[in-house]
Amino acid sequence: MNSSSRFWLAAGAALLVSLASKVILGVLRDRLPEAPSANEKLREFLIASRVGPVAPVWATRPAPGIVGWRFGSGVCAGQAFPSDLPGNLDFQAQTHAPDRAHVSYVYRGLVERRPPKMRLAVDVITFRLFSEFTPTRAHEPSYVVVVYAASCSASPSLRWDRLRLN
Amino acid sequence: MTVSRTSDMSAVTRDQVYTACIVALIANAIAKTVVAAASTNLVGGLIGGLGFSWAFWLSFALCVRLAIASDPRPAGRPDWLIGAACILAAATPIGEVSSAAATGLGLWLTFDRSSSVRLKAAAMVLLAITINLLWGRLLMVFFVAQIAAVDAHLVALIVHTSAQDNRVLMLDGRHMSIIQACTSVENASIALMMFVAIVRTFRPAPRPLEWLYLGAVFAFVVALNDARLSLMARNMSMFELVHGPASWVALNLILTLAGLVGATLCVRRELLV
Repeated sequence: MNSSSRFWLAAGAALLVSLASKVILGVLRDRLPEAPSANEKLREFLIASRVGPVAPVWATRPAPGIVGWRFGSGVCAGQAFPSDLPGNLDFQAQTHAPDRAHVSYVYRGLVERRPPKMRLAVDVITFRLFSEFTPTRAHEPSYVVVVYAASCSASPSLRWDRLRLN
Repeated sequence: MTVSRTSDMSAVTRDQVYTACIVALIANAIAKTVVAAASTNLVGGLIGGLGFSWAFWLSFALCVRLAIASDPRPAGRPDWLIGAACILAAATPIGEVSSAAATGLGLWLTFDRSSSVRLKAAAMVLLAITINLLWGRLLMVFFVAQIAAVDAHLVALIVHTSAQDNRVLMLDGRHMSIIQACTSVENASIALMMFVAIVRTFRPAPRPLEWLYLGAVFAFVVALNDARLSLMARNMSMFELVHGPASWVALNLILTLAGLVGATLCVRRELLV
């Protein structure tokens, strides 16, 4: 066997080992416990906040499922949606928000008028770099989109600083 | 023994080392997506390109084809060191590290004066692939809202309605949200990658006029995508039709063709010789 053949053999073996290790790691990670989803944490937070009845908001796109929660009652009832992947641009909250509704964004306990795009982008990149080394299958960082009727003067007063989504 | 090993090693050429690096880095960068697509639905995944566009696979194949037999000189110490660094990056469990290393390799080979023309051409295709794999996505993480808003306003201009941020008022009074996967830039990066791959294959040394063709392909894809979005903005039945399951396959085909046609026009002289 000449040196060229030996080189290709070694390169092929290195490629196989690296790909196999990724597949094996992927299988092992699938067996790790999955961290509760942002949606589930949000529901628990709303229930613990005693804001009145908490009901799911269903969507059929892109797949059927619960995308957020309705909470409270009366004219000032609100809706809260965990942000999806950054590229989805709060699609579900936009779809379910009534016209001219007040929209605010909660990230890391802070309520803001604009989505925390830059801070979230940095956190998502950091997450993607280190997510392979966490002891649970965690979810990407996300924020909460809070929607409430335009007739309400202020957003529902909740202790958002106690919400730990990530 | 030492002398024999040294002469053995010197029989391995630069193109062999760098071809192995390119394959190892790209294969590891895409491994997770390919496995996920294949394990969900093998047949559907294969038809759809295993989580990537057909243009991506063609570009990858052309990049490897360019790198093979591009530089028959024996590999030197720097080549082996770079090769070792690439294998190390490919072995990490994070696909993005492989993509970033592929960018580093592409830049090194493009600006290294000792690289042959074909090896530089392979490096440029590699850079175009990493733009699609990593840098375009990174750009999207930061600027997706602005990019989607540009598309939304263009569509609103075409269908004579209004737009707010990434939302377009449809002609039937509903709203349509433009998200990352629908944006023109996301789709154009695929066509541009294929354009670079084909042009560099037939004409390894770049020419300044190529930028014009590249711009034309980009503009064409943006126009095509906004025309598609404008059709969707007419009413819900049109939305369902254009946004249906067959849409991705059709769009994939159209983008592949756009890159192919643009590249063919650009290198028509080389093709006709």
